[in-house]
Amino acid sequence: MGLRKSRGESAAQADRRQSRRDLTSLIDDLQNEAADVRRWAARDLSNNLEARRALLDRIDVEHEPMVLEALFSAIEDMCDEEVAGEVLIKLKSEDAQVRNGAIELLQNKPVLFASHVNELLNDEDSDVRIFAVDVIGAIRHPDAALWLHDVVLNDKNINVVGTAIDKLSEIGNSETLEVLDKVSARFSNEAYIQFAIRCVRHAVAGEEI
Amino acid sequence: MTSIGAAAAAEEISDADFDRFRSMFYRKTGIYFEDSKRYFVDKRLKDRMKQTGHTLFKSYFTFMRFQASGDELQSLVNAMTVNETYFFREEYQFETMCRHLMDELDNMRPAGEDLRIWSVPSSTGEEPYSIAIYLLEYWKGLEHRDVEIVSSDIDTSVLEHAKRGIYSKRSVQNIPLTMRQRYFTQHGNEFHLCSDIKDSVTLCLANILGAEVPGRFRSFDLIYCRNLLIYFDDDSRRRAAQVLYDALKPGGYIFLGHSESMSRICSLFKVKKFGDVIVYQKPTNEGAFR
Amino acid sequence: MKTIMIVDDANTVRTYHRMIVASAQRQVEEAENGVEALEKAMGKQIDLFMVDVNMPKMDGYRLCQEIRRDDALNQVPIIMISTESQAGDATKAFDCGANFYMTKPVDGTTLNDMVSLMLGEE
Repeated sequence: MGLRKSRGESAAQADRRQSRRDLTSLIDDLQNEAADVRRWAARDLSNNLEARRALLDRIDVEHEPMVLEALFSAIEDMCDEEVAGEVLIKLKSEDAQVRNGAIELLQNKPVLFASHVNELLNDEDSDVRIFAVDVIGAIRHPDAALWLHDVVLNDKNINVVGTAIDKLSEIGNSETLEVLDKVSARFSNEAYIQFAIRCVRHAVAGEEI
Repeated sequence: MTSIGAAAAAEEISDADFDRFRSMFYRKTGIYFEDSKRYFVDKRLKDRMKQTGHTLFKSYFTFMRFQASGDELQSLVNAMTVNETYFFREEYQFETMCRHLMDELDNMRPAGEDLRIWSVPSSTGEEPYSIAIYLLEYWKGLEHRDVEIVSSDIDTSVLEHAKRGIYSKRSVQNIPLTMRQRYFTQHGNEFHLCSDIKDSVTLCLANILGAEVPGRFRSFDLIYCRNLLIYFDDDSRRRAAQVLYDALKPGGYIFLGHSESMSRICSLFKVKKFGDVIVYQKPTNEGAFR
Repeated sequence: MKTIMIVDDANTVRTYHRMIVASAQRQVEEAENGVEALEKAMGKQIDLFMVDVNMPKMDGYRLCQEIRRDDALNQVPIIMISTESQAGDATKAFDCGANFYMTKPVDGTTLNDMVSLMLGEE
């Protein structure tokens, strides 16, 4: 007993999958009662456009975190305008992990997100607007600060505004300061908002908190 | 971009700018720079500003933060993290392996089944060979259980270096002298690793994000993936974490680098602590993280 | 000295809540999401968790469940603080193991009083 002698590169290939994984079987496996089977089906269906429908549908009923991770990974490179609506709807899911999956996906798709940002920022559900702000805070898009300015000036929900101000701590610019003057007047009695504004002023202009 | 040319000195980093950078870096990487690291951070920030032709921190920050490719952020991460390889680096992880993990894994697996360890990236071999030496020196379980060590890297030149097994004094300086004499022969300033240790590690060329990896690299009990994921962008990091998760048997463990954390990457692993040492475990019950 | 762990993905919220609850008798740890909270809590004496709901990687409900499953942490009180104000949200929080539920933005005095209560302070 001891350390195994190297068998050369072939050792790492010893675990090659034995069974052929055809589309129909894999799609069926997405419904299998064993989570491991569902996860591997999702992994093997990654980037398979013919499976996109099945993967998206499965997200809506899946509860196992490890399977949900695999499902979102599988559709990530297949998310285009055609299915954008379905991804956006997942922001309204009751399941926090589904919402997180959708948020992460949108964070990696700034162009796709940008084409829907107005729709999201005007959603009647304040939580959806908060999630949109979360995405804005993470993506690389030249209009990110502008979108946040718009939110803090116009959104009526204090938590949406608060979330946007938090993001401006990182991506705020010189125009942000003037915007914040107006926001301060909008929420003059709200301690958290006033505090958050001071934080942004510190970050952007070096003012003391 | 506001600059007068690459030769112009970068402005001093203000306290507010440092706070802003620190928050962003923490959000992205999980690494938080205490105030005591100010000099370290400022120096590297100013260097990156100079490299990219920015004299003002704000313009550099905007450039780096919004660059579509993310290349400058990656350069910044490289600059802020020290990446040096040598034998017994972050030795406390090898200690934890021998004192805790190997016995637990040994008890989990049926008799006769090898315990399998994957070290990725191999780089020039110090890590997988450290694992081998540590097991030989400190894990009694080798008397009744075989261990297979597989190590991979995307870079053929470092793999060649690893296969040769010739190291500098700096690389071996953390190995106690008696151990060094046991496993190396010295030729001038070079230390030649003995063939028994070299032969105990299977070295492979592989890209952790390559399509062939999930099939080739499976059923490991322990993975060392140290100071690799931190250099990936968010998306690649997430994908790599999925590969690592699938590469582990249920109950298997993974070590990241000391400044790395799964908290920015993946929530599927169970966090475990042995003393001060954090290790991540794939759940034992069919991978369900309940 | 009691230790409070504030778990929220928004830096400003963590700072604000820290400002409200920190004192000479209390020290504060912070985490950005549930995974980080569990990492930082391991092997430490945590006397109270203040947990947001919507966080990346591991949300607040899941964190509560993990805390309640952990041998070392399962008796630690949890205050859940969320933007969500649907009637069912508080119920869900309690089902996951939270002791108290507040909606943002929090009232500083109420929060401090609740923290005091949870920590068993006079």
